[in-house]
Amino acid sequence: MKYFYPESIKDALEMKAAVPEGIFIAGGTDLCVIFSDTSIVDKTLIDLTRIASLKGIKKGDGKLKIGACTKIADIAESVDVPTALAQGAFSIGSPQIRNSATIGGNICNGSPCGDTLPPLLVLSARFVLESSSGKREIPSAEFFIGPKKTILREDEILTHIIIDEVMEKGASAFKMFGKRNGQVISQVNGALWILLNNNTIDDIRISFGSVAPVPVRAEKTELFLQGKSLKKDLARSCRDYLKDDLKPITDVRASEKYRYILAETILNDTFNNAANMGDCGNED
Amino acid sequence: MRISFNCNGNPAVVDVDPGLRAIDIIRDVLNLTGTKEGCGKGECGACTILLDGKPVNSCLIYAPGLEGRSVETIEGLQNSGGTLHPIQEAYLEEGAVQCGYCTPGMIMSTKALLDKKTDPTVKEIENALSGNFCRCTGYGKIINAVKNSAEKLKDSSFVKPQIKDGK
Repeated sequence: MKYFYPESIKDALEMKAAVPEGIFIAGGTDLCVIFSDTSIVDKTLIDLTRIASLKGIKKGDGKLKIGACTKIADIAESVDVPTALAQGAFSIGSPQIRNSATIGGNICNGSPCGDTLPPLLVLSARFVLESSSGKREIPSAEFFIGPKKTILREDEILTHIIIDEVMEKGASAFKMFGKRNGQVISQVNGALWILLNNNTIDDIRISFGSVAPVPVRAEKTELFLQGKSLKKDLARSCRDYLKDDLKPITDVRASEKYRYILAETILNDTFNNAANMGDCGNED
Repeated sequence: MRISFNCNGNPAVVDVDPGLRAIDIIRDVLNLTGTKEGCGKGECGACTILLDGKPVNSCLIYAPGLEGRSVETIEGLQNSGGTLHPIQEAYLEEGAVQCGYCTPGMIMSTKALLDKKTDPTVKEIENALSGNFCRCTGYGKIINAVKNSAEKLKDSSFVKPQIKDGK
């Protein structure tokens, strides 16, 4: 196997151009699992984790900029990232996985169950993609096009995740359910971001994963909640809109019917959590 | 590819195919067979080592991932005189070792926890060990062993082996 570890984005892109079959690798917690079942003797890996500019969480110019090779464990522990994103990161895998995995890997793997994805959607995160022909900034909602399919081109690297600082004016929360408490893939996960004006909902964004081929926004539910005043069981009253917004399937992890139940509970718990209303379900 | 790193306080230099996993370097090249392979997919935690003090699955790291880093394996816990680390003693005292296959990984995760928190709650223990699976004990005795370890470590008479950088 050939292994390269470029020290700059430019070098990484040049290596990829020179060896088009080279595979970009960061934490390796998805790729190494895939490779564990195959021979890697003739593979070429381009390791991005030594590129300093791809790491770190920085605030400035009205933006929060997260390097794609920032470890999931660091995102989970960061006081600088919005709550939903830290909570989503904390839900990933195990301590061991979180100490190796990167947010860029979770995004580019593009699994509909990815736990950082609903938070990124509700925070209107944008992804910076760089290739030798230049950079482009893509809204997170447009990045995912199918299960493990994204619009990232072969010759592109996801370099940064951008969240506008104005999102800090709202509150956010994330929740997931799995078949056990740790080291588990989500049966349903969800995130919510809410901006309150006294007790009225000025703006609200809700996203779910594992209920569609890609993480989705619950747009009808959002529309219903916009402008409403906070009151007990407001989230629970969204049941019918939620049913319209989500198209879960029955698979090995959960049935369609159970996924609706989980989604409703996630909406209730993240809403009450973010809006400070108590009744947030189990603290897990 | 030549990889240099620190292993249990000693410099290690190996010349391996870059596709060799950390677990294979540790077990087959360095002959430190305490670290076990349970699943090879980062799910069971039997292969847990500490990399710069943090628990990772050594079955998911290729050789270059060790370059310049500090690695601790289960073999590095006891004193050079052969005295077991308090965590190892605690696991034995509490009956938390049955088949023993998960134990090295459990102990490394335990050490990582207790290096950061001197008095973890049960929930913190469960979280810290959530990446280590045991099919034998039902986990109760393992939780007790971690609590016992925390108590033992408060007794300052045990001198923890210091990881020396590059020496």
